[in-house]
Amino acid sequence: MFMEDCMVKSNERIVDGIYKMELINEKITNQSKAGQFLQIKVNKFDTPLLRRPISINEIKIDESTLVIYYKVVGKGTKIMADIKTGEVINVIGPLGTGFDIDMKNKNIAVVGGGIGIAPLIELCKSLYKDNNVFTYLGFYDIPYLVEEFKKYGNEIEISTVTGAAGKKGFVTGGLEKALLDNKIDIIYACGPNAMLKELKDIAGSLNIKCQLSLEERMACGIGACLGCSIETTDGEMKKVCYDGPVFWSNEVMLND
Amino acid sequence: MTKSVNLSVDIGGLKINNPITTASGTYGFGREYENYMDISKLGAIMVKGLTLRPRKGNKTPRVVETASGMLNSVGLENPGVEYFVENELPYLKKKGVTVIANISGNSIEEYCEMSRILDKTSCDAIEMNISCPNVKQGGVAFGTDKDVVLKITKKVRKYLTKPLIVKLSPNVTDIKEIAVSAEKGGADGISLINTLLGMAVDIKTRRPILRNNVGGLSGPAVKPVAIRMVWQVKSAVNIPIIGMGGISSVEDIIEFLLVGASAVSIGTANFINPKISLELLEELEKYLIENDIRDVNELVGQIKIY
Repeated sequence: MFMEDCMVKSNERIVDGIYKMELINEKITNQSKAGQFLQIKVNKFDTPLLRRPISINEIKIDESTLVIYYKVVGKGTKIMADIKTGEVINVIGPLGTGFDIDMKNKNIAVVGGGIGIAPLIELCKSLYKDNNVFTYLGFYDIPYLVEEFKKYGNEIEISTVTGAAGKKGFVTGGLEKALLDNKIDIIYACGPNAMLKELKDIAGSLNIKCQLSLEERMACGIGACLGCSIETTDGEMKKVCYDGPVFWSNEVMLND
Repeated sequence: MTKSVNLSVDIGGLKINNPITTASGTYGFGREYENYMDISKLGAIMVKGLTLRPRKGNKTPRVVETASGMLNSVGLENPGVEYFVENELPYLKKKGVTVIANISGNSIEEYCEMSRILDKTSCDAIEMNISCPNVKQGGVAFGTDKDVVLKITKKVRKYLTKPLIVKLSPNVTDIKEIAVSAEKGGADGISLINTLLGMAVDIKTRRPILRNNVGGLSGPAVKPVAIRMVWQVKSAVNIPIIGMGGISSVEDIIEFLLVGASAVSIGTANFINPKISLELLEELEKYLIENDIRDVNELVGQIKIY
């Protein structure tokens, strides 16, 4: 991993509260893998103090470009949303271990909820050539990134909480049947904690292997502050930033 | 001709090559930072707080950002003193790092036992964290009662031939009397400040953001408190002080030296810029050269008080 200044190639609003940013840096891009994340310093000042952990959405090696999607939730991301093309921001990355993508001829379910769908684009890109990829995406209201997902998968199903598009309700509604119908061998997921908990249970009861990308509040992102430590099912402590953010669902306990 | 300056300092018998150290709990066991800097160039590393037995720490969320600072309630997650001695310390010593082992306990006996174990190892000094709750005395922190500080320092001292640094909690009414007790008890140096107890609330859920409800505040927000306390402690004791609390620039370091710190620790700033400690070392050297100061020790305690 590197600490590097990155040039902002673009930064645009996609739907309400959701932004897409492209960052140019050869070193970080060349080392990145699906499921890893960046620690972004949104400005050069003491406020906000800490970096913001943002997952990598897409890796474009040819253009030395990393794409991220982020949701404006607080002061840091609000400042990010105002960054202009051509500005330079400091980034540490790629961080974390990412998804285990060493799969061939498998039926794969990719499940994403909310802004958690962001890292799943690069995941689908890494998987779709050698496997059957079934994508299940949940949004609150207006879907985004759907056309991208269509490029890298066999089938895609959308649900929205408001019913604005696709099936009304959560992404996990009716998911068990879909997993069985499509003879899913492995599940990959990223999204809100409640969704991940439900998936952990579904994967356990159907006996399907499942990788979950977790989110925790963290300070450093490099394994030093221990802000993001979680307990594994065998009682060990693991760092979401360093040992994760991706874990096997039967390996971790998820907080309420 | 390039000018050379002396950066080496002596913390009660612990001689370090320069006054820049990294604060316990912000620097892991050093390895975490090796991708970003040469950790052997630091004056010393205060390693993650150790306890006699391994500890899992508190549940998450354990950290939250606040105005120019952050709260943490990690809860001393660590692999235990024996694991450290066997697996982390040899690595750091092989790298040429000056290692200050930070210890925490729930009883005076635990502090003594850890000191006995560590005194036989290659670690260079002990930093005793007395901000922990004293289980036998109803969970009140050791570091908030001057008589308890005197007693624990005296007892731990007996198990140590290595330098003993006592790390003070700022969550007290009179920091001077605590520092005096540590000195009387036989401490070779004092480090301060530990974090300030704080709290942050999520107004939507009406719950504290930290799962532990409260946590320790660190970062630039605490620096004025730290500067004031180092200054007060300097006026009360004759042993060297390692100052810390919100350092993120060379100017911050100079401030700490002027009020009486002989060395400093970089803490929360490591989380934002993992190589800041070495950048600040270079800047400190440059500052001394530019200001024609030949020895960093010349700055210590040179504040001109009104």
